[in-house]
Amino acid sequence: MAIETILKSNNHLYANRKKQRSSRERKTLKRRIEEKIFESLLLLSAVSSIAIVLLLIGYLGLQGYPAVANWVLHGFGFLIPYMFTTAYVGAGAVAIATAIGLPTAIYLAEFSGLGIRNFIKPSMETLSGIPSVVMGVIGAFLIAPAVASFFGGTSTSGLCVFTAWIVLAIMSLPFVVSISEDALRAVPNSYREASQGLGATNWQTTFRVVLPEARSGILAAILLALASALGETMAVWMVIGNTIPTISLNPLLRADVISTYIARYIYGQESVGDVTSLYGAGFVLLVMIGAINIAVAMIARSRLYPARSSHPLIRM
Amino acid sequence: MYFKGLERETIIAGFAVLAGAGLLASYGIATLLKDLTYTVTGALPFGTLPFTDTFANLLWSLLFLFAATFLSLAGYLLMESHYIGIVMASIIGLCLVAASILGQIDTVLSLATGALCLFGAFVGFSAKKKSRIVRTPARVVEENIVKVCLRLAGLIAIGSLFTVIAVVFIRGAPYVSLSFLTNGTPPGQFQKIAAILGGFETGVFGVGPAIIGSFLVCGVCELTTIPLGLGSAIYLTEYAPKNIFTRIIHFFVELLAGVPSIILGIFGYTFFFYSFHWARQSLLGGALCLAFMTLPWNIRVTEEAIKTVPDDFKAASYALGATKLQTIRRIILEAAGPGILTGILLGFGAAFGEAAVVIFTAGNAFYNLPSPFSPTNSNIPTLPAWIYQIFRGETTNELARMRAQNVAFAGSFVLIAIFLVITIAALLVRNRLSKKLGAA
Repeated sequence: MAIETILKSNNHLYANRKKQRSSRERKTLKRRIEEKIFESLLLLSAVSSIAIVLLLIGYLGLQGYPAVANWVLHGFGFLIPYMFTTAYVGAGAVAIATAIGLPTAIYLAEFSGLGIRNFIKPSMETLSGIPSVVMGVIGAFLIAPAVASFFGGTSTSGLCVFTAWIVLAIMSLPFVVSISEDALRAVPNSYREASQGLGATNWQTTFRVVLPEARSGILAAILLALASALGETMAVWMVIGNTIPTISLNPLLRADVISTYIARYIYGQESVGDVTSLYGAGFVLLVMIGAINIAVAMIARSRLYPARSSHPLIRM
Repeated sequence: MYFKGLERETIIAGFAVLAGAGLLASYGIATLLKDLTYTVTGALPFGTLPFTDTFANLLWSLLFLFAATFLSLAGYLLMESHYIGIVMASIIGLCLVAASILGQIDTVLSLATGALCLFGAFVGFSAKKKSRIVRTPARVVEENIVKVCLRLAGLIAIGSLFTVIAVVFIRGAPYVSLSFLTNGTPPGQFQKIAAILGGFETGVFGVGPAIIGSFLVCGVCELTTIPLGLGSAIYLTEYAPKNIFTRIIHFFVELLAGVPSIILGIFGYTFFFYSFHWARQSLLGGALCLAFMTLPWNIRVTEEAIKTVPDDFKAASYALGATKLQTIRRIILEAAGPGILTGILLGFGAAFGEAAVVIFTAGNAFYNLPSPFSPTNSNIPTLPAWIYQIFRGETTNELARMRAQNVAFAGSFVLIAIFLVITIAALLVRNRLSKKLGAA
């Protein structure tokens, strides 16, 4: 009698458990479906950036195809001076930015205290987000008159390549400082300790051990600064003087770059070329900047000590 | 910590000089700044505001604070070591000599300051001489020279940022008033800049609609970017297998981050017009193009924030029987929340000031209030485009051009103030996060 009741109750328990298990299975199934849906949604959003890039390249390529084909077959014609000034302006600006930014990065990474670094680095990264139209206003109303008065009569308004260099150098400083500093900081401390153990001073350690180790990261920083300088539109538009450029190394001449050519054409201030050459110029610019970005990606992949900045605008 | 290895006399001399210099600098700036800025920038700081005005006093004192911050930072950067008294004194002395030669300063003041500086330098030098018995080796001298050079470079770099902000503040702030912030710009008048700038004097035109329009465009942009960026980042960090496909996604994200703004501008200017028959410039078009720009930023920061969440959190969640979805939603996103918010805010600040995209895709009207109800066919005024229009409105009238400069600076001031508020909020969120993680 007692045994029977126990068995019965056991049976009852057993059935209950079975029911529970099946409901749990149903729940897990539901969850699994949910997870699958969720995952595919995530995949979809991850693919969206590929779609956007392909859309941009495809659209520009399709629209600019006649002009680009014509240029490839018959030489780049009127675009050559634009390409030259684009490279000239970008290279000059990045040279200035590197001359100031690299020592700053070395100082922050190797010589400064943590307090100074924690103040200066976020400040520099903030500089990267300062609106380009504000930089343009400052360039045109503050730097251009200074350039004009400094160089005397050669350029009356001061709107020239040189002013664009200075404005672009300020704008690309954060890239050089922030990424180089990350690269320097990523070199393991044991290297420094070994060098100092051999009797080297801080500077000798930095110059002969840390800098060579970090050179790929520094190169990447310079290339990224170059890419951002080549693509900058607004500030350059406001300070470079807006004249059809000639191939000349004189930095006190008014000029134009590819991005400002596009902007001015849309704005009705420029009438060289036609609409397809507009897209073609955009395509050429995209290819120039894309090539630099691919180079940076290759450097980043081959790097020994990966480093990353936490600022969204500045990263490799 | 910096003064640990120094003699007490050196420290006292350094601080005395710093304090004296600070006092004199604030007095000197007050008297000199008006002339100095006029020679440097060609315009009077704070326009025609008198010194006695309460508002003007506030502005001046803020500027002093700013200058004092920069000066002390400069001193700290340059004189981190034994030379604190000497170098500071010599620099200030040199500046004073230069100023008196240029006729920017009156003789009594320069004499007094010069005497104080010399005294400080003397005390500092004698203190230093006492402390150094061993002759400095050549390589230590070299090291110190290098250090000073590096600090100078750092000073130039950080100085450029301070200069940008200070110039916009000095030139723009006095023209910003409540009516400037709320009023619109009269319709159809824009080419006649002199007429409009005449209106500025009477307070009938301003940046009100442009501010609203900018926030509207950036808001819609973030509405599209945040879900996409969040989804991509979660996929890339939590789901994606380590294969070539994932690498390709990463590569394209970086590529998208490198696309120059003018490309987005020309794309938005024509693509939506020809494909969907939207207006050339519209709310949705501008917001989508901006979203193309901010999407990679959002993906980067979200990925970064998710990667900082400790693996223990995840392991604990799984051990309690949570599914992957639950873990992501309740553990990872919760812990990474502040980091993600920081990134989104930083991106928002940068997108707010982006001119080349919105000027072609969102619009450059100045008068109509932006309307969210016709997102595809109405021109949206934005702040960067407004500034550019003022800038471009060239005129031969000297007075009108001067006013145009001031108005452009006033608009820049509003833009940079909004940008700085957003950025500083973002950095505060990040600081709180790092403190929280540090405590855990």
